[in-house]
Parts: sequence; structure tokens; C-alpha cells
Amino acid sequence: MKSKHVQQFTSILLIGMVLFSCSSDKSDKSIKKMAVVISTMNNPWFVVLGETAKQRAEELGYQAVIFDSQNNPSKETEHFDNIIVSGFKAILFNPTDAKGSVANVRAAKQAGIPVFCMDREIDANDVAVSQILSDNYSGCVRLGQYFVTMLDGKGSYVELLGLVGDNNTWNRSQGFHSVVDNYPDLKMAAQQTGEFDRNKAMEVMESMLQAHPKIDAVFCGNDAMAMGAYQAVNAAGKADKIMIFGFDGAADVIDAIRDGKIKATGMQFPKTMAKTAAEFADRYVHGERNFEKKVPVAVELVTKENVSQYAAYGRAN
Amino acid sequence: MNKIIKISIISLVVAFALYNSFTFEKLDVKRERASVKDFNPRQKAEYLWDNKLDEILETAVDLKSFDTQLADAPDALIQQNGKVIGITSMVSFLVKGAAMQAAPGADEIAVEIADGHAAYTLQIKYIVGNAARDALGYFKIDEFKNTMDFNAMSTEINQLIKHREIVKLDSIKPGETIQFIGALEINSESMPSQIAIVPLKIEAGN
Repeated sequence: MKSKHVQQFTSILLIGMVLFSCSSDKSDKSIKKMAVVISTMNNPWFVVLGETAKQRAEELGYQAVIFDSQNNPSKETEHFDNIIVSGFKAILFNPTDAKGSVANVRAAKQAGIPVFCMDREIDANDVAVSQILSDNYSGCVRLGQYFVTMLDGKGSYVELLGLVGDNNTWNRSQGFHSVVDNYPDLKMAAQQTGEFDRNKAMEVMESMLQAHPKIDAVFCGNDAMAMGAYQAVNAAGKADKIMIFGFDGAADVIDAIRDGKIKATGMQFPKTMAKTAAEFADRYVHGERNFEKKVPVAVELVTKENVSQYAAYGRAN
Repeated sequence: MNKIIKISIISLVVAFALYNSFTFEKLDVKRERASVKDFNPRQKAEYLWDNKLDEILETAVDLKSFDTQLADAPDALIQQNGKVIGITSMVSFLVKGAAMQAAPGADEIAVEIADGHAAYTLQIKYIVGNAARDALGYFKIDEFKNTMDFNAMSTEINQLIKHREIVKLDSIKPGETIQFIGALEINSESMPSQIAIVPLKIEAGN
């Protein structure tokens, strides 16, 4: 009799456990996940991009996870391999390399996971659902026009390029040169990569100052390099002689423009790009399929004259 | 023995010839190479200029009308005639008008309109940026493999403007009237007081 009760109790317990496990499986599956893959979280600009994408995805009801590729394409591939087998609904992606990252996006597409690129472009039009990118070229045309005005169309300058595998590097450089190269009295003394890195840019700038002590200006492909260049120029006692121009709209450069240390920057809008990517991904998950392949986001010129209208990574509220 | 050596040599020659006759390449790589090889921005820009430009320029708004609408009903003007690419407050337009040829060596020509709300200049020395490409609206960003290629179209269009249109000014005397159709960009968030026009077509006469 007693053993019958034990049997009944055990059966009820087992059924209960099975039902509980079924219901918890169901609740796990109902959690929608979105991956945010960022080229590097070692740069405040990309931290803003990644954190904003994550936050917007969470607001839209997803569990969002940030993956840091540490500027390493192999690391990025590892992340994609993991994401593909982990039930993510979409990937908000900031690539490490325009060409190298194409295979990762293609693999995700083949696995049925839509990819939305943010800020950095991949060299393929048929794998990412949409690419939301700064209009770097137009931004640097405006920066180039201001550069020419500040130098009165003459003088000697150096250029610090970003990562050579990133299309943003070349769009910025080409936009700038499309203006500046029209002025024959403006001479580029040297052009070298600072890899979008502050310390690297400082080292490069120190060498450039040795080789070209009489330069009048430095055009930098991002704000981290502009701050590195400023450090080198300041250490050489030439901060009041050499004009520095950046690109991004980072907090320290906005302050430096206000203080007259940096002449100008191109304000990008990482929060706009990240939010748009997350919203596109959500719409895709809900069945929409009609997206523009490329969505350029305007870049605005920030100078001492209008810096009061701007804050770090966007406009002042 | 000799036969074996002969067969071996012939086999080696055939294998060598076959090896050098074929190359294996992933289809994706081949397509990508083909698209890079095929992309010729100058040719594309020249095709536009020679075959499509006149038709597109027929949609240009009279500058006086543009100026009045910009002051009185900017939203309607932007909606009806403006072109916007992506997330931006910059809007581009095609406009047409007349101006007086400037003195030799000028960077720009002032475009006078009666009771104008903004001051307009026709750019005749430095042609830069995307105003011409975007106002024409012929090239679509999604048709290009990357934004560098799309921006290369601006470079080529700007070159055509210099070499096919602005050169026409050389034969026009200062003070003579010119007719133009051009492209301009405005920031819809802060209505401008000075607006630069990039010429797309220039003709002498009233």
C-alpha cells in the first residue's frame, strides 16, 4: 500500500518535472537574442556604437550580447561561428575589414541570420541586409573646405590615415583630397597610417615632426589620431603653430576644439547608426524585407564657431 | 625501357600542359574580380552626360521660383523637387537661371534675382562634393559595390563639368548673359542665406 503511494507520488513528481522542463524550454526559446559584433571596444567611439545598439535592441525586446572582435578578423570569425549556432535572430555588425569580413556575413546569411552593418562597410552588396554608414566622403569635403580656408590655400601638411583595410579610411582621404588637391600651394609633406590609434598616431607624428619640422597642419582620419598628433605637437612645443583636424566627434576632441587645441572635426552620429540598425533588424525579424542596401548618415563639420551646438558623438540637447 | 621513358616524358608534358590550361577559382571571387574590372566610373559618367543629361535637366526648377518657395513653403519645395540620400538634413535640387559672365580669373559668378531671399553664386573654379551627382539622381547608391565607387562617380561628374561646361565660359565676354542649369544643396534645418550652384549646363545668350 505504502509502496503504491510512493509510486503515485514519484509518477506525479516525474510528470511535474517533465511539464516544468517543457515550459522552461519554451520560455528559453521565447527569448529573442540579437548579437552586436564590434570591431574594437578599445575605442570610446565604438563603445558608444556597441552600447547604443545593445540598448536599442533591449528596448525592442531582445536579449542583446556584445562581441568584441579586438580589431582581429580571426576573432570576428570565431564570434560569427558561435553566433550562428547559438540561436541569434540578427547581427548588428561593425566589421574589422571591408573585404575580410564579407565571408563572415555570407556565412550568417547562409545560416538564415540577417546582418546589418553599422558605420563600417563591407565590399559586397548582396550579403548584408542593409549597411548604415557615415557619409565620410561628404564630411571630409566639408572638412577639406574648412582646412583650405584656415590655411588660406597654402602651406605644408601631413596626413594620418586610418586602417588601410577599412573603406572609411579611403572615403575620408579621398573626400579631403578632392578639395585640397585643387590648391597647388598646399603641399602634402607626408602621408602615413596611424591605424586609427592614439598611441600609434603619436609615435608617427613624432617621427614626422623630425622629418618635416615646418609643417602647418595635420589632417587625421579620426579623432583618436588627432589627439595623439596633438600630444606629439604639444610635446614639441608647436601646438600654436600646427593646426590639427580630426574626424569622429569624440568627447576629448569636442573639448579640444572649444579650447582651441584642435581646429575642426567631422561629427559622426554613432547613436543614429546603431539605433537604425537595431530597428531595421527588429523590422526584419517581424517579416519586413524591403530595406535600402546602403543608408548614408550625414557628417557635420564642427569648428570653434559652432561647437556649442555639439556634444560628444552628436548634437547638444 | 626506352618506351617507358618516352611514355613518362609524354605524360609529364601532357600533365604540365593540362595544369597550365586550367585555373580553378571560387565563383564569388570570379564575380568580384569581374565587377572590379568592369567598373569604369569615367565611362559611366560620360554615358550619363551624352545620353541622359538633357532629359534629367528638363526637371530643373526656375531659380526665382525656387527662391520664393524656399522662403515661403520650404517643406513643399523639398517634397516636390528635393532629393535626399540616407539620413541627412541635406537636400539637393536642380535649378535653372541666368547670370552675367564675370571678369577673367573669377572663382564664381554672382547670380542676381529680383527680390531674392538668398544670395546665389555659380561655382566656376572649384567643383567638389556630391551636389551634382545627388541632384541629378541618376546613380543610385545601392547599385555600387561600395561607397568608394559611388563617390568616384562624383569625382568623374565634377571633372566633366570642368572640362565640358565651364570651359565654354572662355569664349564668353565679361558682362554677357549666360544661361545655366545647375545643382545646389541646402541644409533643410537651417535655411541658408548664401547658396552655391554647381553648373551642369552653360550656354551663352539670353
